[in-house]
Amino acid sequence: MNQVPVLIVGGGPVGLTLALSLSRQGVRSLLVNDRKATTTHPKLDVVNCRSMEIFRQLALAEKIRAAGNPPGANQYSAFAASASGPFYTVMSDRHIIYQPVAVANRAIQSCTDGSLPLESMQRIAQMHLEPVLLDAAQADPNIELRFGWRLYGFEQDAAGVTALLQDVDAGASEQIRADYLIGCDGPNSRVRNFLNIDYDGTRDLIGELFIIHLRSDEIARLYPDRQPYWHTWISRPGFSGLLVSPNAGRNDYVLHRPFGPRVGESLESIVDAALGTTLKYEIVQSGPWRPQFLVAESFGRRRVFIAGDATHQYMPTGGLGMNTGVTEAHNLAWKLAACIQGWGGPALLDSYEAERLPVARRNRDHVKKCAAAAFETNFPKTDQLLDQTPEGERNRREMAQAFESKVSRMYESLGMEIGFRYRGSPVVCKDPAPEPPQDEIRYTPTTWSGARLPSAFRGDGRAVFDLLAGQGFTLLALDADPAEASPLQSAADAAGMPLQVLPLNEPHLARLYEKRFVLVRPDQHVAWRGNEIPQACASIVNTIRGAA
Amino acid sequence: MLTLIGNLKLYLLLSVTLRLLRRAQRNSERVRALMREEGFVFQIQTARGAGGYFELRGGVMKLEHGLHPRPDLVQIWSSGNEAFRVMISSDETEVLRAFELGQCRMQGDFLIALWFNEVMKIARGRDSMQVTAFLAAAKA
Repeated sequence: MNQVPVLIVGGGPVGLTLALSLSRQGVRSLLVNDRKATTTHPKLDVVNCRSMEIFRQLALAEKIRAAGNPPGANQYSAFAASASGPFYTVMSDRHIIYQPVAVANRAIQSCTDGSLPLESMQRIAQMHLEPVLLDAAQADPNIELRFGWRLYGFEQDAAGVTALLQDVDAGASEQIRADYLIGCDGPNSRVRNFLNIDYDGTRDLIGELFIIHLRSDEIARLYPDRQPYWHTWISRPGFSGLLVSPNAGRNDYVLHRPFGPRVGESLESIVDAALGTTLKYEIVQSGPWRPQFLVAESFGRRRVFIAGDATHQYMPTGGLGMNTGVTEAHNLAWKLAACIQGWGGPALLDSYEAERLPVARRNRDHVKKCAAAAFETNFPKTDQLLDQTPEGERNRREMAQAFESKVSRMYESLGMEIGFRYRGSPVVCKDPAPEPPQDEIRYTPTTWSGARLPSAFRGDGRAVFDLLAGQGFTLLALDADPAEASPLQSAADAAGMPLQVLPLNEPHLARLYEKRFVLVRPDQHVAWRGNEIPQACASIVNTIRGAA
Repeated sequence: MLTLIGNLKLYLLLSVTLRLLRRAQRNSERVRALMREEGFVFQIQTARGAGGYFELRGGVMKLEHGLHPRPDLVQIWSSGNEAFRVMISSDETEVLRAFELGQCRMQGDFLIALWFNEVMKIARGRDSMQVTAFLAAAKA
């Protein structure tokens, strides 16, 4: 029987990210995917800031940028009567998120208060993201890929998981023995169903929306510099929708409608109405879909876990579907590695659910608010909206204000993207300080235990994130003698837990990171902080490795 | 006369909705959890002012006829008949179609509409067909 440390079911972005993250921790995996190729549908249109930070850690950020929206191209969101106008407003410079990556990265590089992420978001379609991840996985000797294979079933026992895999075409089957099995197999997750885990929400709150994927070389000319905006929200009497350009450098577009074609409506008439003019285009695919606000009641049992769409289904308002999955994979990977390598304690993997399920619910609530905001933006619409009268002008201003005040939360919520904290986690040392305020939109940099370490740069321009240990924990020593860390180092050594001490003797970093010592996990979250290293550090080490 | 019948249907629908909701509160832990959430006033009315409002306060849902001075969400329907037709539909998208066609206008917090959708989906539950059939009979 073939043996592998981790068997991953599902070769979408989350499954591939998990395999690549495990490899970075030195762990081999076998990934099976029932599809034979990556998706041909644009699907998601953004890799958010936190996911880009994670992909930077995996040395993939530049490759993803190269496959996505050109670095000088906009990431604007507009509100208009049609893609031909009139435009009520364009959100272009009110937040870093709308800026071209090249511009945003300059702002990030000059930021000294930790309030910005290390990476700006990337506008990209899933169908162009997946090949980048797949190429990296194919080139990785720690990853075995089997596309065209499905999970038939599995059993787990105290020592591992026995899975039966099946070749989708030939029907040949093979048994695999793995230490752990992870289902990244989407909203209809077979792994989740085998575990008998249901969702905690109610399905179909909004009903059936409709999506049209089209290609056109002519739509770009409707926009300044032939550079289509990322999102063009469309609203006028009798029509509403959203035209998405996942990449200003390509000719793919996605048109969302709040319902399917009405009697007498053709797909072409819907596209023409959205464009507000007649252009050449090719409809590639179309169909209904049902947005959801669901989170799984549990994220796994014993040696089998789920991640990505298997744990949550969100409406794409807020761009937190795949991006939540990427952070789940990132959280899970180092814990699996720790257990496989022998230094992870029995409670470490349980902390995956304890940490991530509250984040999934928080993200779900945010996405719901964003969805509501998108609908509310249309509320001021009157029949006079497009009239060239004072009433029409007033109504257009109302629409613009509603859009900027409401829909902006969908884009500008760094508090959601990088501000989530593993509050109350069993593998984070309880911080004696009161928790700093947490807001969905505004991100408050903090090293409060459980928070993501704020990103910062050294005086020589190197990012602190780039200096963190590839495997194991990093102790930041801020204006402190690294020798002071020896009790912690000894305790880590005794537990077999990798620990690197990183001296940072720069006043701006000492101010930002608040304490003289900050202990950072492999996923860049703070596990403990303090001004002194206790003489007896075993309890710290045992807590953070799940062996307390 | 048609307006009067439409308004009566709307009042009937609101009353039945309250009964369904209270029954769901007894039978569903999820609905009880939703009822413990922050209170609101949801006004459902016609353009001529017929209708009523649901008020959630302290875990108790009430229905009052008439207009609330400061509702958190308002749905203003072109007619009682139209409101009735859309609200008894099991297709959640109907309300979006009605909104786009101008048969329904809204103001306020749309999260309340999502809250209501969830409660009503649970309330209609396994016997949603009978409920829909009963209400459809009233439509005729």
